[in-house]
Amino acid sequence: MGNPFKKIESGDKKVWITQPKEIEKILKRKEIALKIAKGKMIDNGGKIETAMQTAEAFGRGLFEELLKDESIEWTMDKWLEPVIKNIFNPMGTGATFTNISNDKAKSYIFSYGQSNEETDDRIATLFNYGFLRGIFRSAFPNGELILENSMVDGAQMDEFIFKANAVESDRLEREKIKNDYISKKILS
Amino acid sequence: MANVLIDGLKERISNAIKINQSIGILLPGNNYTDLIQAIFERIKENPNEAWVYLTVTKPYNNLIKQFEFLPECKNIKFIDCISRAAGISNPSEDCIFVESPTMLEKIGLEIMNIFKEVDDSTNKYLVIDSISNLIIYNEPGIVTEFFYHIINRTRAKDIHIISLAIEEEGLNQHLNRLIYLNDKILKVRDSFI
Repeated sequence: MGNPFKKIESGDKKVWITQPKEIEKILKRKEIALKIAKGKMIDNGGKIETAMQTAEAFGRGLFEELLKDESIEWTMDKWLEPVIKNIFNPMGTGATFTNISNDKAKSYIFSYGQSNEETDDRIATLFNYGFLRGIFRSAFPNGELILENSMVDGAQMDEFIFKANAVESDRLEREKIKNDYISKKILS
Repeated sequence: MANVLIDGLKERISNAIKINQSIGILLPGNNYTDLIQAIFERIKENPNEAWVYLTVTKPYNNLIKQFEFLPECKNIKFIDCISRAAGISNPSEDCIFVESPTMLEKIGLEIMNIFKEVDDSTNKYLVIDSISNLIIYNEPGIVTEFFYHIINRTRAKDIHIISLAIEEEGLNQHLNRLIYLNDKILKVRDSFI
């Protein structure tokens, strides 16, 4: 079977582009998980931590089910391949991965397939962060996911950095995302 | 607020592109959507002009989903460098799908082919969205060469260029140099609009 991504190499640059082919069952699961996260947050008086925890748990569940057996010792390459194959492609997520090294990669998500919600819904952006963080940290417990830019804030694409070995300042990212959500929600 | 911002951007772009052959727009990441909305509205309001929109950022389908008035604009053709690389295929008369954002020679040819069909008296414009994204996929030196080539060819055919570049922390040296090849630079800041 071929690569689940298209590899583009230009000089020292190595770029992988996902090949989204939506599989309804997986897409549906994400939509349901998002609805649950929204519902739980409402039940908990709008507590954003509840939505984040639900998203992370969904990500960890996907890791257990679809990725765990792919490797014992994870490197970025070993993690990215099955994530693209089992998560990004079937969810219809169009993304470019760049700056791929052993412990770091950057992704530009340019399309979320059928579900439009993600680009204009702030809670969906937070959910995407949470579930990707759940998947990532299941393989790299010392890692962190950084959200650099998001479409909901008017950026061209959602930009994430996957860091397998996070530094101290990266650890604040999860709180930063939650605080951003709260402050921008109040302004909107 | 959003409308004021978009109208302000539209006016600045319209004024700049009228008197300059090429303008480079340097914008912070979070103003991208407003900026492209301003460009698309400018296109819609001037149906007698001919526009080519080169997208290295979002697939054509996402753009027309986001800006629903676009399919009705008969004065714009798209060149999409992303969809085919991502295995997304939705043919359209208004869009040429290039296999990969690294096929710069082919992209250049497609741009000139579209403008060949436009009569000489029509005002012609090319949008490159974006230089920073071309650098994600290509070596900066190759992008510079491509950009020089496009600037020279379009100048010879009286085609005006708007090239976008997203400002990033520690802006790539090459990107900085590239954007300054334009006749005029517009730096988008909320406070200046």
